[in-house]
Amino acid sequence: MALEIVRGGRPHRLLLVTLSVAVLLVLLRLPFAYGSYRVFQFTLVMIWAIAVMGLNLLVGYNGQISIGHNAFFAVGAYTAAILMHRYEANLVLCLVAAALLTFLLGVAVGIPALRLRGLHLAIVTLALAMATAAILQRFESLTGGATGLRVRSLAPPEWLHLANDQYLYFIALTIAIVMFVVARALTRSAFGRAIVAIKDNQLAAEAMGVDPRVFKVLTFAISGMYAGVAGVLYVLAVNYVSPEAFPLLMSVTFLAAIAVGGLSTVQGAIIGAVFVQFVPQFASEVNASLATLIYGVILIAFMILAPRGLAGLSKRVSVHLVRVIDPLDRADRHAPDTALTVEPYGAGSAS
Amino acid sequence: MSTFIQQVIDGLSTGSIYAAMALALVLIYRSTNILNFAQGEMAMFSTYIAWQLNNWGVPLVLAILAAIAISFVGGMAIEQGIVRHVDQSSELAVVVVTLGIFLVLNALAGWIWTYFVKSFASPFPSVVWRIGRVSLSAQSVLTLVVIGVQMVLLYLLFQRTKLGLGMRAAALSRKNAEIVGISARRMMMLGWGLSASLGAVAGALIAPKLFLEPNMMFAVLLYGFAGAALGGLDSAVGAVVGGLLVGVTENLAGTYIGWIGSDLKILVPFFLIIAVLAVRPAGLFGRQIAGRV
Amino acid sequence: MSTLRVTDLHASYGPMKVLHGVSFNVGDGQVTALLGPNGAGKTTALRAICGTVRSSGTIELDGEVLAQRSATRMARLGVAHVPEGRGTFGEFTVLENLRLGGYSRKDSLDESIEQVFDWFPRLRERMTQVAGSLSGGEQQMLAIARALLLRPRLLLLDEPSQGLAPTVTADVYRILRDLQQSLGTTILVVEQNARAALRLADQAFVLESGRLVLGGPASEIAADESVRRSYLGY
Repeated sequence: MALEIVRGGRPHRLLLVTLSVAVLLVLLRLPFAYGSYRVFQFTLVMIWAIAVMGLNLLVGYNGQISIGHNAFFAVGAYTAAILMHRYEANLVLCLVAAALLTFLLGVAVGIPALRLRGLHLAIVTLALAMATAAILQRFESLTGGATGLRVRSLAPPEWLHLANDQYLYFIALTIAIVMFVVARALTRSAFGRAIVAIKDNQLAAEAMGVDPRVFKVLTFAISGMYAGVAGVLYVLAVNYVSPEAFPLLMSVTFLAAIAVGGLSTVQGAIIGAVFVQFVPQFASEVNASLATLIYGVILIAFMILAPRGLAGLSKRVSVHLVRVIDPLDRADRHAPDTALTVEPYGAGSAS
Repeated sequence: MSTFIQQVIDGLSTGSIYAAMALALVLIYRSTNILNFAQGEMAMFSTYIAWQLNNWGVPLVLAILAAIAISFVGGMAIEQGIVRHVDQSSELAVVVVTLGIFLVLNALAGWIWTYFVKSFASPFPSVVWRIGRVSLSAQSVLTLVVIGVQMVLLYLLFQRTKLGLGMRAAALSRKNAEIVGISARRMMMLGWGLSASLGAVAGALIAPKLFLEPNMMFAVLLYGFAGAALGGLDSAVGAVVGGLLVGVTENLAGTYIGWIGSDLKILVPFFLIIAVLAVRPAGLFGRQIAGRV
Repeated sequence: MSTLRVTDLHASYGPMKVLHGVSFNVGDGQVTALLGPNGAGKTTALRAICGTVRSSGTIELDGEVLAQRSATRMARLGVAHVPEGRGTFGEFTVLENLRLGGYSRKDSLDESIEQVFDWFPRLRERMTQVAGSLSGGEQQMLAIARALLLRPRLLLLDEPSQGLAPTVTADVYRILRDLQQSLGTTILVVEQNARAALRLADQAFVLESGRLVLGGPASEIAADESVRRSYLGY
C-alpha cells in the first residue's frame, strides 16, 4: 500500500538542505584528508554510483531487469581507451563519444527487449553479460585483445595545484553531481511518472496515452549511457582496460548496489556504491580466502533485513526525525476517519 | 553427412547437460516463481558431496543417491533459512539473494575442496557404440534416458498430482492458495528441496564430462536458463527440448560458422533466445498469459 | 451448522484504523449480510475474521475462541472464503479449480465434484476450460462451487455481485438461496448491493466508517426507507 506522505513543510526542507550542504563540504574536503589510495577508492565509489544511478532508472523506476550492464560499462571504457590510446583524444571527446555510443547500444538492446517478459529479459541480458568478455577479445585489432590497452592518467592544469588522483576525483565528483541532478529531475518529471506508470501497469499506461515502447527503449538507452560515462571515468581511474575487467560479477555488483541502496531512489545509488566498494574489501581484510563468502553472507543479510534498500530505511528515519523536531508536524497527522476510501474497487489489494 | 549427424549427436549430448539444468530451473520457477541464479552452484556443491562420499569409500551410485537425498534437505534448509525471510514482493531482492547464495556456495566449495580440478567418474559404463561412421557413447544415451525419466516424472507431478497442483497454485497466487488451505510456505520449501535434488542429478551427470571444479556450472547455468526460457519457463518438456536445442545449435554453429569459433559460442544461446522469443514470447511450450489491467 | 460471534473487532492497515470495535453474531444455518457504503470496512471485517489483516477483538467459531487466525487455518477449520475478485485461478481449468477447493480434505473429491456439477450444470459443460475464459457470472459460480468443495461449516462471501450485471447477480443470489436451503450452511455475505443481499439474508448489519450503526432482521431493514436511503443507497 502506498501512502504518499507529501512533505512540503519548512522544517523538513531545511533539514534536507543543511544535510546536503554538509555532505558537499565533506566531499570537497575528502581528497585532501586522505592518501591517494583512499582517494582512488572514493573516485571508484562515484563511478559505481553513476552507473548504478542509470541502472536504477531502468530496474527501479521502469521495472526492466538487466544483468548485462557491464557491457555498456565496457563499451564506454573501451571507447575512451581506444580514443585516448590511438588518437590522444581529450576527456570531453571521450565522454561525448562514449555517451553517444552507449546510448545507441541501449536503443539497440532496448528494442528487442520490448518483446521479452521480465524474466526472459533477465536471461538475455545475462547472456549479454557473459558474452562481453568474449566479444572484446575477439575484435583484437580494435581492442587490443587479451593484452588490453594502457591509458595515461589525466594531467591536471598547473594552476589547480592538484595531484592526478585528486584531479580525477573532482572531475568524477562534478560529473556525478551533474548526472545525479539530471536523474533526479528525470524521475520527478513527466518522463519519470510515465516510466513508473509503465512499470506498475503497462496496459493502463497505454490506455492513458503513454507509448510504452518509446519510454522503455529510452530508459534502456539512458541507463546504458550512464554506465558508459561511468566506464570512461573508470578507464581514467585504473589506467588500463582488458576484457577480464568486465566480468558478469560487475553486473551482479551493480544490481547488488541497487538492492542494498534502494530501488527507486537516486540517493540509493550512492549508498549502494559505497557498499559494493568497501564491503568486499572489508570482507577480504577479515579473511582473504573467504572474502567472497563473507561478502555473499553480508549481501544476503542485507536483503533479508532491508529488502527495499537502505535509502528506504533512511527515508523513514528522516520522517521520524522531522516529527520529533517539529511538534506542529505531529498535529498534522490526523486520524484518517474522514473521506479516505480504504475499500479498493476491484480485486482488493489494500493490505 | 555423417559428420553432420555426428555433430547433431554431440550437440544432443551437450544439450542433455543443459536440459538437466533447465529442468531444475523450471521446477523451482514453477513452484516458487523464483529464478534461482544459485541453482548451478547448488548442483555443483551436491556433486562435491557425492565426490567426497565416494572418496571416503562409498560406492559411486550410492554416493550419488546420498547426495541427492542430502541436497533435498539442503534445498529445503536454504529456503527455510534464507529465502523465506526475504520480502518476496521485491523481485530484485530475491534475485540478489540467489546471487548471494551463488557467491557463498562457490567460495565455500573452493575453500573446502580447493580450486584444483578433480575427476568424477560416470555412473554409466564407458561403452561406445558405432552405427556406420557415427559414434554414440553409452554415457550420452543413458544421460538422455535419465533426463527423459525426470521430465516425465516432473510432468506427472505438476499435471496429475494434488501436490503438484498445490505447488503451482501457491506459486501463482499465494493468497488464493492459502484460502483453500494450501500452505504456501510448505510448497516453497518442497519446491526448493525438489529442485536441489534435480540439480544434484544434473551435477552427477555433468561432472564426468566437464571435470569437477567450483566454476564448472557457470556456463551450464546460462545455457540452462537459455534452454528453460526457450521452452517456456513453465514447462518441463519445454526445458528439455530447449536445452537440447541450445546444445545442438551451439555445436552446429561452432562447427559450421567459421568466425564463431569456440569463444564466441556463448553468443549462440543469446541469439537463439531472441529469435524464438521474438516469434513466440511465451517460449516454445509456454502458456500465453493474457494481460490483465 | 455453525455459529460465528464477533466481539469488539478493531482493525487497521498500518497506521490507519479502519474498524472501531464492531460486534455481531452470525446465527446457525442463517444468512447474515454485512452492508454499508464503500469504505465502511465490510471487507476489512471479513479479512479480520480470516486473519489476513491485523486486528484485535474476539472471534468465536461455535463457541471456540480463534486466537491465531490465518487463511490456511480457517480453511482447515472448514471456513470457506470466496474473496473479492473471486480467488479463482485463471490459468487453471474449472476442474482443477474445483480440486483446489477440496485441497485440505483427505477423502476423495469425486462425489463432491459430481454434486457441485449438479448444482452448476454450466460448470460441468466447461469442465476442461480455462477459468479465465469464463464469463464474470460463471467465474462467480466457480468461486462458490469451489468453496462448497470444502464442505464448509461457514461460508464467507465478499461482494459476490461485484462486476456482475443485475440479472447475473440475481442468478448468483438465487443459487445461494437454494444452496442455503438444501445444505443449511451458515453464510456471512459482505455486500454493497444491499438490495440483492437483503432478499437473501435473515439478518443484516450495517457498517459505516468502521462502526456498526444498526442491525436487525433483514426484512425490517429492507422495509425501513430512511435506513435504505441513508446507508444503503436506494
